[in-house]
Amino acid sequence: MYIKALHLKNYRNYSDYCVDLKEGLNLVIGENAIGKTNLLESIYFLENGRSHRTSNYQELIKWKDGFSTIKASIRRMERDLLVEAKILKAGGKQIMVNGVVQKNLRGKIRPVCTVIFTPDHLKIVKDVPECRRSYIDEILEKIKANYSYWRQQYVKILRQRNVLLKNVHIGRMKGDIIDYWDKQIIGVGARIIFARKSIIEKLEETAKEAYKKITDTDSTLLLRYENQLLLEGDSVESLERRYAKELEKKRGVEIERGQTVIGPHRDDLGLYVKGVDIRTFGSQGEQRSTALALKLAEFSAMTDSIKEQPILLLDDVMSELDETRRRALMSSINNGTQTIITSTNIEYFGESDVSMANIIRIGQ
Amino acid sequence: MSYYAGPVAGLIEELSKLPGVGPKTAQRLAFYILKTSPADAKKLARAIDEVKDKIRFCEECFNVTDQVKCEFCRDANREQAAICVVEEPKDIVALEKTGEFKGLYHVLQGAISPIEGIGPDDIRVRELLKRLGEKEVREIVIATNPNIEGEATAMYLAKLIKPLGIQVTRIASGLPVGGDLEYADEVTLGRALEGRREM
Repeated sequence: MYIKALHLKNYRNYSDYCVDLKEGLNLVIGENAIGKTNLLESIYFLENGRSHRTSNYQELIKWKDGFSTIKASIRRMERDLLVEAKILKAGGKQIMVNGVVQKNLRGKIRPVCTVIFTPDHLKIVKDVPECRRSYIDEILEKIKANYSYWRQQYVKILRQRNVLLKNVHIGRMKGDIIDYWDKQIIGVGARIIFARKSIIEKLEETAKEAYKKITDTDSTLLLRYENQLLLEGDSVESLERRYAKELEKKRGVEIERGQTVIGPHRDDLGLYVKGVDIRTFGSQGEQRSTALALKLAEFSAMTDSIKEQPILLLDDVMSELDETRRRALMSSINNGTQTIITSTNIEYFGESDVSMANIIRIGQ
Repeated sequence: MSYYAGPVAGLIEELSKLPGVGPKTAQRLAFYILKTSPADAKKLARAIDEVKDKIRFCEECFNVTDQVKCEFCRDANREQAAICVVEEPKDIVALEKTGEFKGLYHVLQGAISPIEGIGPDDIRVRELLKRLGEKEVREIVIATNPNIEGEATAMYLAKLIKPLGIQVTRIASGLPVGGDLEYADEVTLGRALEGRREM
């Protein structure tokens, strides 16, 4: 799939801006603070109905009394689509495909599909486990129809259960009703655990190869699903049994702390190269390579799921990489993939890339 | 802070306490009431007054009624050995419309929800057990909502009632009848698949 043209109106720093894009490589070149990222953000918005940078979408409107529109003509599966987003000052946003309002952006069928990589994504590797969980969850929500529902259910049950544990601790409620929340959290939790396990295995296949290529070494990147409960070869039944047993064992501790101490909300994604934990002991370079490998793995998982290539958005990542990694990244990208890369400096790109690319200069 | 004269502001304030009514809807309703004839406005006031005065809970099943017992508990033609347990009186209305259930009801007046501070002792469970002790009951149909609070309540009741030798059933969840598969959302369809039956 690819975007043929993008039209932004009253969006961030753009009053009225049209740009033609092509299948393959697109380079967006311009100084800092000129609106390169805003361009990528608008494409991300068309897919997700939200920004990757802010949760307050009214920030996206340039003039505070009006509304913003993002329009994209997209070629997808041999069809032309006009995808249009409207962001209103009074609150509310709307995404339309060929004039039809989309009610639900959850799940697999989205008007456009992207994989975005920004310097901020380094936190997937370096930061707290929650960042790695949301990396995994965001992929799953796009490729597994019911995943976001189950995740929401899990959060709801967890909240109820934690309040209950606190109430039991202070003697306001009896402990016997914890059982009924346990049964529910096990059912939903086990689904989440198996979904995460299978996507991590899938990601590892490509991440391994990508990492070798990026670092130009034989080093293997290992992805480990770090979950307190799951054992090798578990079936749903055996996992649920162990889950129940562990919850029973931990009941005392949980009441004491007023908190659920086991379950997928404690998951992490382990990242290892040659036995070294990259999350804490990796060098800057290793961490960057790992983040990049994870993103390329995401791209290939998405491709498998939607049976066509998503659009790859790379925001200012070139300045973060050295010469070797830049070249490795460029060679990992398929020629047919629509790739939109922002950068301050065109010299980061090789001659052959530049000659093939559609070059968009902003602010000149 | 209000731009309106005292009584109008007071009415808006009271209306906006209703569920599903925000400040703007409250304002619209208040001005509608202001425009209606005095007789109509009095009727509304009297209806509210009466509902609080005359309506109480059925001493048997805790449905709302204007008598000691509700119409279902008074009806001797209904099957006395089956009780359907619901969260709210409005759920009875929904079930009655189906005409499928001919037994009696029991209204819990809520569901177990620790976040709202509602435990098993805060809903009408004790009263249900008392009923089961006094009468010959063969089946309990649990029709609490299919959300996490309703499920927890259902499991709690099942654990409590099964040892008494009474059959406990739970209403099924799945596809709406008369609809097309393609219109069902993924979650409902997924549930329906899980609960499939052999033919």
